[in-house]
Amino acid sequence: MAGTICLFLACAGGIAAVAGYGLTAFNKRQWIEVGRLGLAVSGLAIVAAAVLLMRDILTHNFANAYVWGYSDRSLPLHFLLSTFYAGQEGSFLFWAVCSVILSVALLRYTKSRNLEAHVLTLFMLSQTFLVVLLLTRSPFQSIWDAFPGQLDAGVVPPDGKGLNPLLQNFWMVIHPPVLFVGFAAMAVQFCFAVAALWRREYSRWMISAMPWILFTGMILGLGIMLGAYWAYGVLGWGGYWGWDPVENSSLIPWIISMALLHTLLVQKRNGNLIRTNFVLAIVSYLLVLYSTFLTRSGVLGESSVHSFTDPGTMVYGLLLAYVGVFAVIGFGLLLVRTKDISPVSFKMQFFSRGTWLLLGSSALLLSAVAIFFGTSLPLISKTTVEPSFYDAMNLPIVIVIGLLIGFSLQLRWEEENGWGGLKRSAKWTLIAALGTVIAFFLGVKDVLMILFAFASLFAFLINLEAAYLVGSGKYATKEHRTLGYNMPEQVLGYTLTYKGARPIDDGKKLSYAIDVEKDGSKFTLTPVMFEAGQQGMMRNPDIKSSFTRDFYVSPISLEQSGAESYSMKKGESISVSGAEVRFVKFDLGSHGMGGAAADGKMIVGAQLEVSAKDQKEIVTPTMAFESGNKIPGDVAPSNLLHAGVAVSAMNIGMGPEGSSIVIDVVRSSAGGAVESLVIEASIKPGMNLLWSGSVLLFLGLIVSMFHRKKESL
Amino acid sequence: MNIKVIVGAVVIVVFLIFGAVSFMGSNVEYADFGKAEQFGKKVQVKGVWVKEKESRFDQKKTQFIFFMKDDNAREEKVIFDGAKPNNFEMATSVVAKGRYKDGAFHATEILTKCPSKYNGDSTAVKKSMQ
Repeated sequence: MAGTICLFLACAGGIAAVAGYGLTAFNKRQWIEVGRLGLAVSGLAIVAAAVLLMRDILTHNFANAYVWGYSDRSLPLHFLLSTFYAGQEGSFLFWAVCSVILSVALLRYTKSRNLEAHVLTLFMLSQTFLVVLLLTRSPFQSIWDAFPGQLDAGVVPPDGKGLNPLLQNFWMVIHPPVLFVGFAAMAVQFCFAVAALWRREYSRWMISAMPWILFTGMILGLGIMLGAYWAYGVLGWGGYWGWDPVENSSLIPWIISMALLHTLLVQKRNGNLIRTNFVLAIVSYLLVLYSTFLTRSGVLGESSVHSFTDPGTMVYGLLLAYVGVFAVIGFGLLLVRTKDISPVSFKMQFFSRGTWLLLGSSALLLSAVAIFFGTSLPLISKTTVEPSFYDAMNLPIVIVIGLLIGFSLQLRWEEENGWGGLKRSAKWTLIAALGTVIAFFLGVKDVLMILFAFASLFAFLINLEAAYLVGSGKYATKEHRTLGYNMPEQVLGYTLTYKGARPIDDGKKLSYAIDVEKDGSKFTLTPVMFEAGQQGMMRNPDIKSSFTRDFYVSPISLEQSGAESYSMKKGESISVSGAEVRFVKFDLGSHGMGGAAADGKMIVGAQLEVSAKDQKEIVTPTMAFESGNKIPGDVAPSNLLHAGVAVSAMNIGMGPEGSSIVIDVVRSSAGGAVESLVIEASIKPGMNLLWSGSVLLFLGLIVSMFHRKKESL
Repeated sequence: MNIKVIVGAVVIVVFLIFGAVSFMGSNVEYADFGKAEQFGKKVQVKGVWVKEKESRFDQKKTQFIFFMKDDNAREEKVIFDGAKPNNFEMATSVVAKGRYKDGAFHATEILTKCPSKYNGDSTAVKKSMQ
């Protein structure tokens, strides 16, 4: 209740802020205090709402439907904290909190630069939209409202549903928050650009916006890479990038931002590309909103591994309105002002840095367009594209970008002809592979390039990353293999020996030890598998990193070795190592109570007739069902087969196909069953380069951010 | 200026042609089993897992085999290259990507759709009350 009141207050404060700042921007200076008051009220109310939700989570208040749906009493503190943003409602609230923090920083920043009214009108409008979304899909809904008629009023469930085990790891604690800070920060460049259009200041806005754009690029880039590492190292998706719609939709705005940074540098230096920069700044934020729409409205329901099911038409409409309103504001104002912007015809020489930066940005945009097309395709047709589409499209673009970066660093802003640049880059072109890296380090020595080097560091790294995004996926090799207990197997040039399982985490999970040997070096990998209740089997890979490549082992399943599966219909005979096995009939009676036991279990036997030479025997393995779920039954020993027989599937058919079963014949030489581990092993080249590239990219953007911050004063 | 326009146009045209070609090769349509059988090419089929029928993992071939019923209630055996996917048991629907061949659907990728935490999930509330 208190939470909902906070949200209404935040909404009212937001509207006041938009109105107050808006009027101020139209030269009614006395309204500025209303704007500031509204900003404060909205911010405090959102923070209060967040505190209230956090209190509900920490005190296990399961009367709150959100708390009930995403947490339970068994979660340790750090996962409990992360349930705050585990669901849609909470993640929007988290986004709003990030927005509040940014609004305070923006207030300080814009006050001294006389941009407060315009920038904050737009920013608070965006924040208010988030609050309206929260009002329609509230994290404070009570469990009685969420499930009308299911619970008596006032009855609180004793425990919650818990957090999806896939999300229960360290990366869940950091990846989503970082990403949401990035999403919230993307609004800032939109606000600066549109405020500039509003104020008719078309040329200088980027100087104040630049540190923010760099901040956004850094934080969103970090969020994306953390997600990639999560998928690679923990979730066992076999790779760090699957071109999934959710991944793509955070990547596209980031690529556009990176392109914008380059074209802004051109405008700063030459004064041209004014309209291009406005378009890019507007589009980058619209794409964040579009991405939110794609991933939260349920439209991509069937094509994403990140499942968000339909949140209802209200949210659908609101998200669409969010995109629409900001598109109209951004492009509308740009259209109104377009005549007012006097085009600067700066004649760019072909061999000047400006031209080549523009070419680089164009290549980035092409990549963004291709990814955007692939991701949005399910909206316009009933088809999707394979990941190979993105690989194929980006590979040539990345090669072009690589060449552009290598060369553009060698060019000066004004170049009389191409010879200077060519001459300077000739030797580096010769050392093709190292050229890009070394060109960068040399570039720093040139006075003019010091300014640019910061910005180009990430350009270089985009290239590096993208290359590996495509390259390492292409050259990765993988193989499925069954490892018998203590039986060395050759897999991809490594010798693997399965050494048995060990329970970890209080016996909740099993860790499988695999001794690996290659060229005399020995190490042990311990991938983990565990049954997570209703969620099925969870599989965490283990990775051995070396300088040039990673050896990646994912567990697939644990099997009883020597088990052979046979599928057979009723009355049918099959031959199993010299003996005949016939499926006679289902046996409901021999296990008492006509198959239904007192504890709600139902046991069904499959009567099999085994005949070898003149001997015959009847064996009856069973299968048990408990409230509709299959649970293992008894294995029946067969003397004639010298093996145990188990049923692994049953189909009690009424139709023309009749009944059928699947039996497993489990043979073991040493008496007891011997287990074997099925794995998927793969070699991923260049992973260290990818991660270190990401770290460098991050550091480069930070350095650049502080540099531009100083410049903007 | 003219050269710029020409170079730009050529680049865009080449890009579009290249895009169209790689698109043709990687475009996967939604279909049902009937269409999958008819086309023989790679498609994706949405359906539900038939829990009553056999589902097992073939460790020699590392294939997971199960039966799936598509939207037209046609049942087919699905042979998936890999282990039982995460969240398979709780999935409300399954999307299998692959092609139909020799009386079975050979899937290379399986997506599982899980029920929303709230919508129509009333049994869970009751269960948690026990």
